[in-house]
Amino acid sequence: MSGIPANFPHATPQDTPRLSRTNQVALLLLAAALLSATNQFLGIRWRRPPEIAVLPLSEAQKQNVPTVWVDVRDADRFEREHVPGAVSFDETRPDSSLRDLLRVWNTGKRIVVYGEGTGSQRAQRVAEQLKKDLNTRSVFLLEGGWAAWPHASSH
Amino acid sequence: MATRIVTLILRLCLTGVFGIAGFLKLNDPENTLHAIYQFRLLPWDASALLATHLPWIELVAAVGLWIPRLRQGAATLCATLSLTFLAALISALARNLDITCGCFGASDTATQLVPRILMDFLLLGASLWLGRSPRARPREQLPIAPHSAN
Repeated sequence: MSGIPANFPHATPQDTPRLSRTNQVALLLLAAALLSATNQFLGIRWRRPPEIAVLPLSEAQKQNVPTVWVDVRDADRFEREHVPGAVSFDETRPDSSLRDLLRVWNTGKRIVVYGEGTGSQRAQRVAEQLKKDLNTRSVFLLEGGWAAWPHASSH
Repeated sequence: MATRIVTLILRLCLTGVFGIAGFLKLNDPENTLHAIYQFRLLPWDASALLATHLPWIELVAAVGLWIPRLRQGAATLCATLSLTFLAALISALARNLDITCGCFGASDTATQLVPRILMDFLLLGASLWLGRSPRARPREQLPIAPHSAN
């Protein structure tokens, strides 16, 4: 303000000293940090996901281990192609999907869940849910998902 | 005049994208955390830290674009966020990860990463445009003040 004559009638806010770009960013980040503190009041708690073991394809395909395959991809993708004998699991209809799964699963069988590819979040969620609902530790994820399955068509 | 209209449209777009993204993330914190963690770039605790702050940073950046004194800083923040998202998405694409980008909170279907990357390039361009130095912008002619004769 000091550089502006007091009697200058057209002094505008643009003529006053501006915050530097760095200071502006710092101020905005500070505001974000303060607002983040309200997360505590929103009752947000981070739940660490249970570790689900990932099976390589060669291990998952072993004939001597009874396996139920669970396909979490979209229904149309499942209809087109899937692991032989796999059960489609629609995450949005967990009850009916679980009923379908229980028709073929018993405690002597392990469950291998797969999504489209590596790191499928949907497969991870379904595997966690099945582990809890079925009270079994024998739930695994297929390494590489459907993309790793031999002759899987490219998507 | 055309420049001002373009600037206004870009500001509206950036505000919409970052505002909605921040709001949706804030609305579904658990899935935001999982979406960040699934990129496999950060450990769990660091992902949780980012999930805590990221929605607010996006919201603050969106609001800051409308505060004249913070506009450049907000645009710089938007550009930095866009660059960070770009790097994460490109790295996910390179590693062939089947993930949801988490850009707008939880999503049931795997994200098509390429369109998201293109969108981020657009966001980056818009942020850089809005964040450019005021000296690079054409200034309006101010009326010349008449001298009072004392």
